[in-house]
Amino acid sequence: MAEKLTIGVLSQIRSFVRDPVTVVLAVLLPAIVIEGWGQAISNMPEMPTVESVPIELARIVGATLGVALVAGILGLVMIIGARSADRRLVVVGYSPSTVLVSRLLTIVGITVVIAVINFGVLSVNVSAEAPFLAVVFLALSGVLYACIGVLVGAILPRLFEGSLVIALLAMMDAFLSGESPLAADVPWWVEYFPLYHPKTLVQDTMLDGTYAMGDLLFVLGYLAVLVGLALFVFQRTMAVEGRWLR
Amino acid sequence: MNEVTQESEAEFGRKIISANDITKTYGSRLPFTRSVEVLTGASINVYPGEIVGIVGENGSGKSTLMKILVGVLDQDSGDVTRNGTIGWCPQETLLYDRLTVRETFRLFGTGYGLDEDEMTAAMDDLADRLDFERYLDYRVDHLSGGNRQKVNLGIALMHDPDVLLLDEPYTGFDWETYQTFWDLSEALVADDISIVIISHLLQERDRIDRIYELKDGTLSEVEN
Amino acid sequence: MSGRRTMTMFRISFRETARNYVLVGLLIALPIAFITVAFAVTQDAQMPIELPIDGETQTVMRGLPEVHGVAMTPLTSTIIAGIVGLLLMQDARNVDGRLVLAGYRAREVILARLGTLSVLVTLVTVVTVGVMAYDVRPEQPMLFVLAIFVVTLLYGFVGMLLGVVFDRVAGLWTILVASMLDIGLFQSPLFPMGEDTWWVKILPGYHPMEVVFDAGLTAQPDTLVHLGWSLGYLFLVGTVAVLLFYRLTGGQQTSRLQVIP
Repeated sequence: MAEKLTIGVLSQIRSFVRDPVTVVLAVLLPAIVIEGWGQAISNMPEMPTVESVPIELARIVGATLGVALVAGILGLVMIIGARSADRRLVVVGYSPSTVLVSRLLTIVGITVVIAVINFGVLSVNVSAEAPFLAVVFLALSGVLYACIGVLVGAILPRLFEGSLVIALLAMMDAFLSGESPLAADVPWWVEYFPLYHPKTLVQDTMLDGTYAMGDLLFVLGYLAVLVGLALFVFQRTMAVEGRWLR
Repeated sequence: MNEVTQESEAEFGRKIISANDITKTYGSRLPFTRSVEVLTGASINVYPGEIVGIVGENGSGKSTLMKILVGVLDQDSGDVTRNGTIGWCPQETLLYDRLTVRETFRLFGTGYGLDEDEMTAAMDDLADRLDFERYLDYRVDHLSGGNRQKVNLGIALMHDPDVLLLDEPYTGFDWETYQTFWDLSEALVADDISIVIISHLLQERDRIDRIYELKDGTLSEVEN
Repeated sequence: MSGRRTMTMFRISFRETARNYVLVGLLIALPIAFITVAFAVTQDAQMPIELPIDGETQTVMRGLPEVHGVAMTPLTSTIIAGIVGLLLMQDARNVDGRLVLAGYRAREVILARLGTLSVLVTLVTVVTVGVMAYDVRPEQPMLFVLAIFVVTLLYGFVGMLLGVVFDRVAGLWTILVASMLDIGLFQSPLFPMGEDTWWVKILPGYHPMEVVFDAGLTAQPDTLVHLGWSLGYLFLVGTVAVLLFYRLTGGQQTSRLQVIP
């Protein structure tokens, strides 16, 4: 079991990083999003009745978005891979739960790497009060979006269409959840957007070194629901007649 | 070249396709990667009414050769002469996903210069012979692999070409289509149409008149 | 004959593109998600903005939602058009060569594809400006529509160029990032970054976006020179896109195809 799991995770990671587009994306996108978002929001002209947004805050929203984008694509790639190859793995003798766990570990593992990259880019200009927690919370937002990627992929199992949906979804989410004068009159239900609370957690740990338990519980609850849905989708995708229950 | 070819020339007369000393190297756009010499002087003649097979291992350059014979890829050197119309049935079906089968025939039929009646007649005839009438109003991306391959073949045949070139036809054909294909090919050959089949594995060798082997970038005729 | 082939190709090309549910979905959802939402959530405040008035740049006050809405309209239209151009070029790379082999001349295929791109760009322009007009009317409607059309077509060509170099997914991401940075950030007066540097001025969005903001937020045209440059840029990028399209479709091979009937 352990050996199969290791081979499973390693081969998943290998096939992910061998796609040059993904790698370029994972490295370039954080820089573009963090600085792009940061410069944009903080360069807004001074307005009489409007409070300006410090550049640190904008960069933090950018980093959360950067992690979400790449992790969302990761989830999509995983579920598409699951559709084509995982059933075959199950047929040759991997137990479905091994395949499933290796998929999830791969998602978590790569998401942590993505979070570290984003944190690294962010740290160039923003010093973190609680760096470890900041990385953990960035990774949490990533896992959330990876699950969303899995769900999108279950409905739209194509890389082009799926990644378009994820990109637009994540950008709208970050735009509405981020505190900017351009999205100040947002309705109450924006609080339920996937990035709203994770962004607050990252922001608090980066700038103050603390976080509110309420935010964390909200995110964990959200995560539980999404992971449950993602597991269900994976299970449905990989089910080979008669073998799943083994 | 060799005796067999000269005999064939005497027997069949004009060449439908004649390729001499074709070379093709795939250069690499990226630095630090190798360029690949695929063809190093391949020559082949195809005469009316014969079935020619080209075999070779995976990666020996069969598809490259076929694309050059058809005219969708440029050779680096050498000449290709085509004395007639060509029907090309590529390995990847190369059709537009979101068009229906009927629209696909209309699109290609217009390109071949057929008028409305000719187009409809050709489509109905091929749909009947290859058995895809039921799917004429289906979108290409909603067809099964086998049916897509039938449409692919139909498009290659709808203008009554003088030579039909097929790239790995067996990979997409199901058994039934495969049988239909050979029945159809007999009728085509009887009408003096030539067929060139490229495959890594040639079945039904007794139906094929001449076989070339593609190896190390050149073609040589082998005993059938 | 040639006219008939081009028309058949155009009709079928348009139908094929219109059946692409991703594009239809984008055309319906993106303007609402980007433009209408921008109006809805932006604070109703006045912002200082630099605009060309009477031949010189002046700082004037404009409503923040209006500026945001005007900025989001070309961002929306260029993303959609870039994707259309990308997909057209992917088709050219993959399948259009077979049409040329079937007897279409490369220029007929290209003409039909350009026709499809133009019709779709017109449609995208009408939809995005229409959605924007629901919340705010541009000050100079005709010039505004023209400027949006030009920048949208320009990005359609940019999408085509990206389609030569990248595959579908990489091309999609490049389009998104390019449009976000050029149209959404560098050229937007919402986020002034001081004096425009030379590299901001050579980006495709520079000249048309000057016209977009002039036509959207001021009463008199002051950026006709920029419109001229935009058209020149459009011509240049369009020519390069068409030449590459010609190459990929197999235009160069047909001349050597010695078919003797």
